[in-house]
Amino acid sequence: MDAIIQYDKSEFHETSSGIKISKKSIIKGTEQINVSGRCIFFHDVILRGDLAKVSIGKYLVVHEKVTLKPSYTYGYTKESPTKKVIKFLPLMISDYVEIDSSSIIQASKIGTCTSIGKNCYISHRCIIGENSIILDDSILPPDTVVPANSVYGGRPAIYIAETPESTAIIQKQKLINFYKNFVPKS
Amino acid sequence: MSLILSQINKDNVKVGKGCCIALGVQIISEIGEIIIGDYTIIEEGCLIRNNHFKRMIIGSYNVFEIGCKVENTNIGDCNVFEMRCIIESGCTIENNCRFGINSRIPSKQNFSNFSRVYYPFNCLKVPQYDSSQHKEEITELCVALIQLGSKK
Repeated sequence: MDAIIQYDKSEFHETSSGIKISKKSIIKGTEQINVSGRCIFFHDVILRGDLAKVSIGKYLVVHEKVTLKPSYTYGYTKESPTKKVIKFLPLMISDYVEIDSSSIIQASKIGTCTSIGKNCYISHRCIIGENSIILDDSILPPDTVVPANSVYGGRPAIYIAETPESTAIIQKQKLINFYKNFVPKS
Repeated sequence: MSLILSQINKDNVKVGKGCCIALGVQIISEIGEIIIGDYTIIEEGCLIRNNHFKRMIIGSYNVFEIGCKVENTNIGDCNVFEMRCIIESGCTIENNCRFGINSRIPSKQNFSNFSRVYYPFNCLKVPQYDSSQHKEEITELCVALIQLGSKK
């Protein structure tokens, strides 16, 4: 937990509110993306903000090769109140979330203090509750609702266990320390 | 007419109308051509490669979800390739098939109409149905994506 990770300053952009984005990541539609601050995006991350609004909380860590993409439904809109039309749903990621490498995320909402493992496939319109853990190599089919304080895993993902009450505090400390120890090479 | 967000060599690759090709897609045609039909959706991070001298023909109304890899196969209409499936060279795929998440298909396999493949390589056949609803949904999606892409 206390390991210092040093990065090459030429490989990362850093903004005034403390967001560190790798130069090799592809981010599109930055007008609709709201990031609260202090997030880290490693290389080969694809983030699509041109389809719908993306609002991201603080202390998010996104590892390599993750795709974050908003999902869509069929629903009624102002322009067509009688006929169902394709609508892109906004993607909301709360504070203190960690997303491990090579995952594909098309969820609609991810709660606070969750951690998502490696090679996960989170399909359209999923809702992930707070303080939950999604294990490595799990596949969540479309429209799953993961309740708060739960551990999900497997193919297809099922409820495995309940997380202890200390997961929120441990996750917050872990990500605050990760951000503090992510330091440029001097 | 079509929305192409990543860089493609337009001499060897021909794309039909209404196609949506997202970011980070690599369509590599070293010797032979690649011809893609109308209203296909190729999502982020896909890799489509043609190593042979012959043409590679991909039909209309197909969906390639995030992270697929397709090599040297001729593909028909109305197929769905879900996330991260890998199809090796020499296969032929006919119409209305569906390949599940993370399926791996070895080389030189043939899939006839209406077959379903689930992880890792279980194959089923489904009774025939009318694919017009699939075609309508995909044309709607393509039109919505092209509208969003051309707004700026």
